[in-house]
Amino acid sequence: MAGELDQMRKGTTTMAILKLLTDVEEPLHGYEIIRRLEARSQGYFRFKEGLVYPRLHLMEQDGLLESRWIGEPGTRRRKMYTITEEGRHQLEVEMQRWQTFSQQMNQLLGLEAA
Amino acid sequence: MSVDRVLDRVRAQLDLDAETEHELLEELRGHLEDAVAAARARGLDEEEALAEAADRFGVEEVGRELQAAHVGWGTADGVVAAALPVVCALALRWLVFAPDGTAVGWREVLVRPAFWVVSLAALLLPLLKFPRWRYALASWAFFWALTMIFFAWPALRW
Repeated sequence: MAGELDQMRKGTTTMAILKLLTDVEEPLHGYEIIRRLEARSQGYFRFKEGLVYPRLHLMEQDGLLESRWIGEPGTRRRKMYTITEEGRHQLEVEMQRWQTFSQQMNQLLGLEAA
Repeated sequence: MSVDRVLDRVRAQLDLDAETEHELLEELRGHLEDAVAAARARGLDEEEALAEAADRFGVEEVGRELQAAHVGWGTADGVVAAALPVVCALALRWLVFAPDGTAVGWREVLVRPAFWVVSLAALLLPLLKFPRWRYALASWAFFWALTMIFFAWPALRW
């Protein structure tokens, strides 16, 4: 059960990051991504902040995000992330899947008319 | 406690190549410095701000997850980067050298599309495949050094 919850957390984090970067249409660094996700969820979703970084890196390896460093070596540099076309496509697929899942669950629990 | 001490705890969980580790820690340093600055702005002193930032960060867990995220990728990179110059050298051997093992007819290969395909693949494949430019440079240098040696001394047998 813990493994399933962990998988769900990772899946929803991925979707939330993709949606955020789609909406803002500008490169963001990790700290800013975390702050904006917190603001969007109004503090409901709380997680260890550092865990966003491995997720960002895996998403980059999967081609969903791309990154570039800004700033000169030796000065304070920031790694900025943007969403790729593949990431946008993945977001559409995941959101569709999520809508279907939530509709089915609501129907099953009697929270929504069939 | 300082940001460096927190980063040392992350580093203790990592066993990656030096460049990857350096980039990871540089990114995390930016995060921790921002988090400390935000906490200081809320009135916490330096120690309290750092303790809060470290607690919210999840230091050991982050180190383990970063290691897991990068270790497989780095290994795959290394294997392909090591194999690529060998494959290019074998292709070069097949394209440039006559059956007697010399490169005396090397000028003829300049009109062969296969030669340019191999040359461009040796250069572009690492650039497109790897985020680390040094693999591309190493492959490129190896390929062209080999080419130049045998073009300069074509009668050498290989």
